[in-house]
Amino acid sequence: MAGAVGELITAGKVKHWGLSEPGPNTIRRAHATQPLTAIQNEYSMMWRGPEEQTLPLCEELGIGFVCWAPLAYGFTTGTINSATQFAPGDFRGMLPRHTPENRAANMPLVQLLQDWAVRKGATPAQISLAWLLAQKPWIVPFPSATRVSHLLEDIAAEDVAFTAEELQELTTALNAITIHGDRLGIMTGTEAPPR
Amino acid sequence: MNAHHADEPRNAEPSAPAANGRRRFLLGAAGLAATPLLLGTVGCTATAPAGSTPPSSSLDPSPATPATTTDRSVSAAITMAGRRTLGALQVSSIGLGCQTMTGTLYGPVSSRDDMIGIIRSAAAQGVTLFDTAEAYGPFESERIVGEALAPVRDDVIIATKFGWDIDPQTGRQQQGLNSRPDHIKQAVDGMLGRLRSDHIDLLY
Repeated sequence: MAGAVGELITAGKVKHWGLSEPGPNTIRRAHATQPLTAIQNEYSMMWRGPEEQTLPLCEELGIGFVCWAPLAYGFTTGTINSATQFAPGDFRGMLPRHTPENRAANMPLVQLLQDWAVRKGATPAQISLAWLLAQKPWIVPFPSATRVSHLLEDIAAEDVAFTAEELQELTTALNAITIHGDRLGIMTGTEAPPR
Repeated sequence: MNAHHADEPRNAEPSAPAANGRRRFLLGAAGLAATPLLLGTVGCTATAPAGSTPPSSSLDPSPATPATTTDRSVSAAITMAGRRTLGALQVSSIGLGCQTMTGTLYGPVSSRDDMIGIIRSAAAQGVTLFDTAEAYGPFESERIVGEALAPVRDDVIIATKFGWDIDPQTGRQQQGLNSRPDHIKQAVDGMLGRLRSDHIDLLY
């Protein structure tokens, strides 16, 4: 795969490449063949899996990291609770983490975000994105938006900065919260087949 | 340690969208109600009729409505100046995900024109990273992104993805993955057409 992409880069059709949800061995192998620009994984205050292996490896190899679902499908915006009815066609209603029971059980995270929103003069979504930005200077979240108001709220998160003490305090509080319900059952940590 | 100290200098943004200066916006919805900008743009949400084009679809930077108060919470907004580096690629510190714009993930959207308007608003306000994929739609998210960004193509970074086993002609998705070299090359040619571009900035 890295070889095929390398040919596309040589042809000028592709400028940079990355991998989504790869395993660590695949990252090393691919990067050795054709240097990677970014890894693109789910990462949010609700799903912190990349902190175990992927972020340290990105740091070691000088690869950027791009976060999908940085607002945890909207949950860390504080606008979803156990009473929320997802519209027909909204797949979030099928997420294990979004059963009414799990939404209720995960409200301590929303409360934490709301407390910090008040403290920092921001919104819960902005606290969520600012926390991701604060993890590493080469992390870039890309929330989706289908309303201009959400877009503007999201991009203004870059103005929310934490002191080292604040970041530690927020992360410590986050560490103490148990997240209920499984992550969406997608492939992650996937390794390419051996050659 | 300030969370943003490692960013590129914020005054280093060279492109036009940020040229009208950086104003602050922190209070989200509470602050939005007081902003002239948003009074003009909020109408493009779910209640806008299909086919309408929001005022925000202009590629001009946001209306230059100077804040009439020193209170940051009600200043008009919103130009993203922060930049981050991925490998050797510089992008805005927050990108825009375009998967939900097809209306098939989080439910229907107000209109396709509105989605194009939102992408153009983001670009006008300094966002340079736009994320899509062949599989979103399939194809339709890439078409929306390509149409929206064609006028500013050289100023933005488009990221898209292959990997699912999608028929390059019909868009029909089979079970499983397909990253065989011949499939990748065919997929990329399809992406370039939908994105109205001769190159993909970042391919996953």
